[in-house]
Amino acid sequence: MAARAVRKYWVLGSKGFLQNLQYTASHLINSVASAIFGLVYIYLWKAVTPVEGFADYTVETVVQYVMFNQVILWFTHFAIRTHGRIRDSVRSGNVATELARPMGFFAYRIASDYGSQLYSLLFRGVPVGLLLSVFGHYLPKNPATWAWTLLSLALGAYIGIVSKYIVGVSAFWTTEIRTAWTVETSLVFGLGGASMPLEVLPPIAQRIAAFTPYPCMCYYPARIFLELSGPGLIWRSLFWAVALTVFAQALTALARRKLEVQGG
Amino acid sequence: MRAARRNSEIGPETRPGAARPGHRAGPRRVLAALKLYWILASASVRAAMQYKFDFVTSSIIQAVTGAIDYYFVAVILWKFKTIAGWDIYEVGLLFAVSKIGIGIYRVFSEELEQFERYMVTGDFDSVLVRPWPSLLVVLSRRVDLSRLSLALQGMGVAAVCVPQLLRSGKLTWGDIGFLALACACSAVLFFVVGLAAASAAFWITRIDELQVFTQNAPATATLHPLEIYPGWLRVVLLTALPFGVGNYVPVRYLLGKGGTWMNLVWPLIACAVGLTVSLKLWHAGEAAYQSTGS
Amino acid sequence: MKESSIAIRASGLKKSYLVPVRKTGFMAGLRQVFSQDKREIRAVDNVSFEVPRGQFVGYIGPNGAGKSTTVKMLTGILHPTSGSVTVNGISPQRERQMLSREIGVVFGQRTQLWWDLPTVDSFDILAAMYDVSPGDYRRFKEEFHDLLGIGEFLNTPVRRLSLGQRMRADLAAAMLHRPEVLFLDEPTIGLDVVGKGKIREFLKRINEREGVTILLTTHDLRDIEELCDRVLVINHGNLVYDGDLANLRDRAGLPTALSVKYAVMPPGIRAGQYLARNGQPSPTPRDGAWMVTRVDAPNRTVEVAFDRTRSTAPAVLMAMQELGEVRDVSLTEPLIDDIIKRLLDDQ
Repeated sequence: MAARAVRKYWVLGSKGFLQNLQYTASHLINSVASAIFGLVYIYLWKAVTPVEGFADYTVETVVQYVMFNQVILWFTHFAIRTHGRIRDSVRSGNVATELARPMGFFAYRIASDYGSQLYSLLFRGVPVGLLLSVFGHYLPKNPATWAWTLLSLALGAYIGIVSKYIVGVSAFWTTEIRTAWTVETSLVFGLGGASMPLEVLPPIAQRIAAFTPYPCMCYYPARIFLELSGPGLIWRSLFWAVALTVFAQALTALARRKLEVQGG
Repeated sequence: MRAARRNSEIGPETRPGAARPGHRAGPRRVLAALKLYWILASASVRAAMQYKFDFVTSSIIQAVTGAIDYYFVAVILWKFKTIAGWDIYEVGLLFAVSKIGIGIYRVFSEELEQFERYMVTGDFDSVLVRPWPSLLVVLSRRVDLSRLSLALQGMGVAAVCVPQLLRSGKLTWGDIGFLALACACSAVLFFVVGLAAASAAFWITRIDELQVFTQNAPATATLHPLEIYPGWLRVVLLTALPFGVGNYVPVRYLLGKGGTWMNLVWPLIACAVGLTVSLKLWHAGEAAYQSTGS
Repeated sequence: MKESSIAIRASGLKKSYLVPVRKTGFMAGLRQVFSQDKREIRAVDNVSFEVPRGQFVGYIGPNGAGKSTTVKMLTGILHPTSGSVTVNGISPQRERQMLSREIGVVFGQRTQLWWDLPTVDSFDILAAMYDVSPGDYRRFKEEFHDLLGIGEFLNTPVRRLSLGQRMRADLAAAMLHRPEVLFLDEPTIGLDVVGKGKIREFLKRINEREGVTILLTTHDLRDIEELCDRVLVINHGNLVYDGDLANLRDRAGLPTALSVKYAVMPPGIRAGQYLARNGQPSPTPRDGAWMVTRVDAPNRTVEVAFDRTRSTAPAVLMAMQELGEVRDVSLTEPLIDDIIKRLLDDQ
């Protein structure tokens, strides 16, 4: 039973992956553009970071931090289209059939979008990393660091997809979800550490950030990768993964009820 | 006498068009073009007002997106005090000139940003059957007032920074006129690059990705003083994608950070050269148009 | 013919495109970027014709034959690869803006009106765009209300118009500046019979009474039948027929099919036989007999082909009623694509 369920999710995931392969060319062009953004930030941080560094960062590690985030941001945030797919499905009315499927609506969406995200990591993130590596590179030597980074990233992408899912499900109440997505993007940048280490923020903002899921998508994986923090941060990601899943399921139940009451 | 009409109910004298003078360039033609632009542009605003909700959300999104850029710069300067010797008010001035420029550009040129659509759907066909220059017809399709929020944001930042700079004596009252000129040039330079990128669609159809290169990335880069970049990148931002000429070049001189009075003239020269080049590109593109849509 | 009596002149018109050869298989998208493989497609190969003023020309051909490409070259949208065009003595490529004041263009599949605004706003805008004087504009609104009933929906936003209303509005818009030549690309597509009728009536009138030269592309044979003085057939970018419809019928044969379902299958009737006016089947054609084209015994259905210019459907039906009790009747008009196919098979 469990094996069959796993296979079902696997099939969905790989479909999402394969569908994206068609667009590889334009995504590679896109990668060059995000590498250029990365370049701008690298020079900015080289210019502003004091020679002695700040907090526990040196000039080198800040630059590595920025590069790492430029590589993973497609994976944990930008390339995720879950919200748009749910909105389209609500608009077209297909959502009624999708909700009626034996496989849970939530599980279905997450599994198929996780596949496209793996694609994003490979064909958007990795090329950005390769392009930026011209400006110096860093790879952890300790295999355990790799393992923890990948786990933290996997959770980060999951949290990213679930939070887009929540944005998408809001389409049941308001068909306009662009604003919600824009606000979320601002939070990923403002509190998640997508463009700078959180230590740069004023202390009060740092404290607020620690109580949100956004650092799971950028800051925690980067800290682990750079060996500035231990694997203990994984617990925080795990907590948010569970909490958001519960919240998303509850929201789905509410949406389902709304649909039943209004009959679509 | 052209047409020998059969049983014509409408005499040739009531037919406009064929015999009408003045579709050659000239002051009267320019005036007529401006009048037409006004009619079309106000129609587009009326059409947009059919979707007030979209207008409001679009304005909010502009504001929030712009605020991230500002937050980013502000946080860095709060922590590190200067970027390459520029303090928060000085960087703010760069930011303001650039945002006002891009805001004005996007109000009037939103159709260029969406120009890929004309190629994909073949909608450019209906532009070409009109008795006016195609660029005028395209630009007049939409004036997007929600983009004003970008320019307003720039003005807000200027309203904070300029008084501070006046107080510290880095700016004089006379400089404000030059700043206004810099904003206008900045808008024109965004137009120059936007028009060139849109023209590329005549040959390559898909330009959404290209626009990220030609607009988003260099616009973000020029929010910071160019001193932080290596030589080649500075050259790019001062020539091929000349947004730095719009804000950095004049602001640097006005703040007494180097350069000569020519720094105030360069933006005008760049606008003139840039406009010539991208209008040529547009015309070449129009002739190469393939109308593959539909 | 004297130059001034020619509305449209195309000579040696050719348009070819270079298209990249599409890759398939693994990483197709990626390999496509680095590919240099290009293939030349000749949308229009070699087309020459002249249209005298006041003529109503049907320009037909299968999908992808080069109809739209030709129309786009005639209207200045596309530049020909080689060959030349003049419309009203003006080159659409060199003097596009000047020409556009003298022609009207309607694309049936897409509107040129302002989608979100009341229809009258589109007319207002176009009047300004084409420098139509207030007096002419007022007369336009009155006249086109009589002709196309535009007064009924002047205040309705274009996006809420029915397809038929939208097409009427588009046609009126194309005529606002009183063009001498009108190019219509599928003006009746998707309309119901009533809608098509209104459009045809209007086109006939402006052609006959105002001498507007019209070039129309269509897939509907009735458009050609009711409107066109002359038919041009294009296939694979070349003109394969230039003449009137009667002649085209003679060459291709244009059977309308009448299909009848009987209560009981009439015995002894076979496909390939001929049916006389009195309902008598015979193996050889006799004067005024129609061919039985299909016999479907399990469905008790017989189909007979006839030429609408020589016989009427009721006459055929009467003959078929002689064979047995009729349960159901259906009439199939020939499709233009079929005619062209026959024409080409013939050659």
